[in-house]
Amino acid sequence: MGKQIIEAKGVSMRFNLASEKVDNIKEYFVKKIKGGISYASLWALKGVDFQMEAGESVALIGLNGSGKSTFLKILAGVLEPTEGSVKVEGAVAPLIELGAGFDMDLTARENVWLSGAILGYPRSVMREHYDEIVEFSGLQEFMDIPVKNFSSGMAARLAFAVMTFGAPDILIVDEVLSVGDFTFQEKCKKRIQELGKRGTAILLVSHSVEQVQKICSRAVWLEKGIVQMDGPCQAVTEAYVRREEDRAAGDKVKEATFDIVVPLYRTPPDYLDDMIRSVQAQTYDKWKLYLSDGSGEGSPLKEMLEAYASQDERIHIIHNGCRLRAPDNINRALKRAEGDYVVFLGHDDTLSPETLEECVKVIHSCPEAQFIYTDADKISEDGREYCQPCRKQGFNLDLLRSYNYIGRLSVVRKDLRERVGYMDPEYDGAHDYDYTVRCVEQTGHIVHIPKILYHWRMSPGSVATSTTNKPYAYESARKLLMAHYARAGIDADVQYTPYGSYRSIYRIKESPLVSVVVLDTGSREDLERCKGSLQSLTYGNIEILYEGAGRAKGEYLLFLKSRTWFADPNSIQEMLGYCMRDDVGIVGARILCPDDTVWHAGIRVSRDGTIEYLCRGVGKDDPAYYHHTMSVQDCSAVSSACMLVKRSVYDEAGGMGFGGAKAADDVGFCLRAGERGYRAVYQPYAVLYRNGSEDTLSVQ
Amino acid sequence: MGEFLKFKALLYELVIRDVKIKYRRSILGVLWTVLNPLLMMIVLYLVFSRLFRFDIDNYSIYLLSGQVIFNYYQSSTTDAMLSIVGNASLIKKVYVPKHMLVVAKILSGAVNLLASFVALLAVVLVTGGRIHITIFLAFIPFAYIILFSLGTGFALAAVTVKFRDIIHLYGVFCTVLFYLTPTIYPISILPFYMRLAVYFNPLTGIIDIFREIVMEGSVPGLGRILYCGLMSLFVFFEGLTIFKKRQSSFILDI
Repeated sequence: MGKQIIEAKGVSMRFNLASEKVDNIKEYFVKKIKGGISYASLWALKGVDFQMEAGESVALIGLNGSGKSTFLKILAGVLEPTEGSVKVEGAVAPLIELGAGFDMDLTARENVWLSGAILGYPRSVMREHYDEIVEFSGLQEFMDIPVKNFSSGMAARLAFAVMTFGAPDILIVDEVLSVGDFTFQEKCKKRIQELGKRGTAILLVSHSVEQVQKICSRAVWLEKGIVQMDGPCQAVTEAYVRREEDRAAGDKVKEATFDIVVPLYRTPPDYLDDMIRSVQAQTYDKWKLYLSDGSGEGSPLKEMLEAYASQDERIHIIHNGCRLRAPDNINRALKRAEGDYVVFLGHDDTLSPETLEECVKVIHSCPEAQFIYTDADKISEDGREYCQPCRKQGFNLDLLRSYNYIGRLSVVRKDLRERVGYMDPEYDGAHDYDYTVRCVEQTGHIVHIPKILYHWRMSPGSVATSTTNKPYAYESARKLLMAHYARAGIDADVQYTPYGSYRSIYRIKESPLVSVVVLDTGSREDLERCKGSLQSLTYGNIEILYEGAGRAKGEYLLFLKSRTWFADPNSIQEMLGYCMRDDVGIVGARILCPDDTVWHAGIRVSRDGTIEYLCRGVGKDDPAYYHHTMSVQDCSAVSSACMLVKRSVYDEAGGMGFGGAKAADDVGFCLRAGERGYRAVYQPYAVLYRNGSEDTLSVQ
Repeated sequence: MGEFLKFKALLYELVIRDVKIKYRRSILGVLWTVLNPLLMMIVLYLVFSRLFRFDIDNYSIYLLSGQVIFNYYQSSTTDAMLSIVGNASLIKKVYVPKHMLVVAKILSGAVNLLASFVALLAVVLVTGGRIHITIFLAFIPFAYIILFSLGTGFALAAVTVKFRDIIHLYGVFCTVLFYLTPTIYPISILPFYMRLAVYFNPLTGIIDIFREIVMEGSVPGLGRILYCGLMSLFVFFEGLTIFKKRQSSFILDI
């Protein structure tokens, strides 16, 4: 095995469907003069690539009209493809439609000679194998009757017997196995398996998934002329069946339309092709693709784009005669988009085939969703490797303010889009960040799909390859965040961090009283050290309490375990700025162990109740997964080892249930506050150290 | 053309098939290949030699020899014309070199040609004529008419796929051609301007050569032989080219 016997590259087949069949001269000329000959084109196959090795057994599956029979006919030499090339090495025995080339007027016996000759065997060879053939077909008494008197079952048996008696290099079977009774089908299956063992390559088209799984090791799924999946039989057939079941079940919400907007700028043809193909391969087909070409005058993409548009009416090209920067380019496409949802796609990136379908599922289960985003990964320059998967969180406002964690893929509903408007060229380089932020300002119905549905290409100048590739983007991001804060009424300054994220420094105008509630959890030295570090803080308006929060007078409570001490003297201001926001109830800090590893960087509680201390053990300056530890973000909870709470929220959420020390129900408290609508924010720029062995974390 | 060897078994089967089917349901069977031209000749002889007086010696042989060539041309090209559309079911399922379908018809017609040649010789003997040694040169006009029919057949087959009414038009055309070919009359009776038309008719030259071989027993002039040969080759290659250009789109129209 290993020798390639079939190689098909870029095979496309177009059929002209004339509205009336014109088959004589007079009508032809009349119509030509009247201008009435029009052809609607049907592209039955679009750019199919396919290889097959000697001895392989491959199944072609797909719905009716997916192009399977057309493809087989092309491989058998019956049709010539409109585009693309096919190389077939070896003798092909085709079983396409019943009859395999029988002449109805000849007898069965005579047809054996004729069919043999079609396969390339002279009569002498056929005579040798004649008995074998008759035996297999079970038609001994009928061999001298004209085939036109045969039933379809008999004709199928004869055809099968004739085509498979020898050892053809390639056997193509197109749904012929569906005819005939059970014993015949068994016979056929056995013979196909025998042939397979003898080294015949088998290409089978069947609607019966069982048959396919029994006979073939590999399956190719064709849908609307495009290869959806090509891989091990089990995997592909399962995916196919699942999809068909889904489709049967969910034919309801299949009306949503998606407009995919893509700005093009001198896109390399391979990437452009991959991108467009990935859109055409969508399992959900109610999309339109708007490609805005901002490559400038004499764009090298012009012909390619026209070719795509002529092949697929869902693709629309916007030719701009001039060079455009990305935001303007996207806007040109956005102006034309009128679908229910807009999808933003980069010109060299690709989508997974199920991307739109997943979005549709979400829309079906959450009809109020106005903004949807998914996970993504990166795809190498040559398109062969997928790497760096980026698993994102559910919506996290403060994380978004630290960096554009949402990124791509983002999908925006029409009403939201109309409110938000267009890309702002002011923020070129971070225009999509700006757009996302403005979307988030206008809606609370944001849904995250935790599946990797977008592949970001690591091309040389792209940010996907290195975040330092577009330096002007940072300035744009900084500006947009400042504008965002201005709109939100938050007085903050935005700075760069060395990690490519942004740090917002809140300016606090007042200095309300903060009651520091020290929880005595350690030794005397711990307590002393803690008190000492409190002295070093730059925030003056504090009172210190040792017996719990009962007598606290401050507007804010700062819970502090005595075994901690401050590493950054401005910690309270850092936390206070956030705590003063109306939507925030609790702020936590970054707590390190004496060996400079992270002890606490926010707590995540999952739906099943598991509590996770994020990034524990990570080095102090190590940004960890997508610089989590150094980014301000919302969390499920923060540790009471250092927790700043608004007094009002504390009371409302019922406090932490401890009179004087020990393991506090900090997680439960944060969750309760969260239920009431108060965020818990993790502030990495408030830094403390913590002494001591691991606490038993038996918090429920 | 290299496929020719690979598929020669197919060609053989196709020719056999055509011949078999033609005579399968007929009472007289293979005998018909001889009787057909014979009966034709009898009727035409009776009609034309009694009704119209032409001064030709051996009018019956004159008639028959023209018949042999012309009939072969007409029937084989008509069969060839239908060969693609008639084999639609085959072409749609399996790869066959399509030119072979046309070749099969022309060659199976050649079987008929030979049979009628034999009939012709029989008539020569019966009417007291002499079989000249030059009949062995008959392969020359036969080769020419076969090439000519192949070329015409290729072109017709290709065009018929797209325009079915060619079938009817061709029937009319053949009738006209019949009267523009000196099968039943000598050229001499025609006025000058019509003679030109007849001379341009390629069949005239081939029939002429054939008649000279059979009736006069002499070897035809080299000039005429070359001229007819070149013309037949020309028609053959032209027809083949037309066919090859269109063959990949046959399947879309049948």
